[in-house]
Amino acid sequence: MKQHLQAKDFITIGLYSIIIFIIKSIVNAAMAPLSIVAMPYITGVGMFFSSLVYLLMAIRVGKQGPLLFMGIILGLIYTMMGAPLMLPLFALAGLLAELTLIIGDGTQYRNVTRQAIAYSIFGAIYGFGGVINIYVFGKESLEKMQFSQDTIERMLTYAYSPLWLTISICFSVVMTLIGSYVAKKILQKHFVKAGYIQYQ
Amino acid sequence: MFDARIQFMLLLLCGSLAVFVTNTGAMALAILAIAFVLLQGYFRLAAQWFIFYFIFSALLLLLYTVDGNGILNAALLMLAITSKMLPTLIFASSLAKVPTGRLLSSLQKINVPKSILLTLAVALRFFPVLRSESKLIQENAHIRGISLRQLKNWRKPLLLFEYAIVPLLMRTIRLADDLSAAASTRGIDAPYKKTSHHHIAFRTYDSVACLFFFLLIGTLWI
Repeated sequence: MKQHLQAKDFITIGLYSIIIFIIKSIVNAAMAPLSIVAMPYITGVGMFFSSLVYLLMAIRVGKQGPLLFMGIILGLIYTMMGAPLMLPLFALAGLLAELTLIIGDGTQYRNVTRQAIAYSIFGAIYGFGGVINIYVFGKESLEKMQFSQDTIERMLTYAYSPLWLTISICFSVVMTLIGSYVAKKILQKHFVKAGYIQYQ
Repeated sequence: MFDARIQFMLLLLCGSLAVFVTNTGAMALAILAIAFVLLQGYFRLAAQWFIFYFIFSALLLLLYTVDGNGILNAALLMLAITSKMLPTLIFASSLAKVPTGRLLSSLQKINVPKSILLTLAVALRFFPVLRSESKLIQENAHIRGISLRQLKNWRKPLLLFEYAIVPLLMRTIRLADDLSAAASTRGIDAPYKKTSHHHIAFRTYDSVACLFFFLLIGTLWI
């Protein structure tokens, strides 16, 4: 049976999306001094820490749609912060990740493994957020910011070389899966025992 | 105070423009944004932004003149990206002063889907609430000796993460339940068009805000 999201679910999604956004910003800020070396890894670390929040949200809602709405909300927040391209990208990421969850009898939305896979796909596409500005606006946008030539070269290498892209995507996926494994333990320890959630 | 719809449009426009403008253009955007806050009568807020932006740009200029290496370059990267985001944040700060009910009914008037509207409203409104919640949690954690501020705890970062996030998530579960109970009591699931006691209309003073559209687009040529 297909269930639609209700006002209660939207409120839950809104609250947890903002926590995920805060976690990702903290990770970004913490890793920013290293960003010239660690640029391909930032998304992965953010996904690792946020997977606990996502799994809790997905299991509490237990219906189709949280990833899509989370993508749209994160995209809108980034739009307000000056990166309007993130909105279509994150919406696409959410949509594709939701597609992996369609097959099943309705219990798959409370299945930790399935949700972890969906979230890792979201993370893989989410990782393009860092480089998509470079694709669309090109080298000029970096040069307008008056970066040193060395920094620009490095950022272009990360954005265009297939090797770095593969490393970045694989790192995000693996970190999300590890994060979900840790998250499952934390969920079991605190939330299942307290009776807040039940999962398959 | 201007019409929230215009403020929202200006915010989106400023966000999109920030990608295209040069450094001088970004500065012009920020000055326009501060003027926009000032025109709405938030003198204190405008003064705070002005002082902050002055110090910030002085720092940025200083870093540009110093021919730096590794670490300084990374700091410059951060500051340069922040300088592009600041004008949008200044616009957003004045929008944050609009009461939620007014903001919601304004956005409803430009036909934003109800589901996205509700989620976004909750997300934006809970930024400050979550901050005060996590401050409370950290105060309690400090008493127990497991807070983020005590350096010795950083030897076990994963445990520290658990201590910080689990109470916060527990709180948000309750917050979400309380909020949805309150919302459904007020009939949020009713399938009718919502009305509001806020009167949303375009007034004469709003034409001043419309001028800002042209001024903002003008920064592209600076």
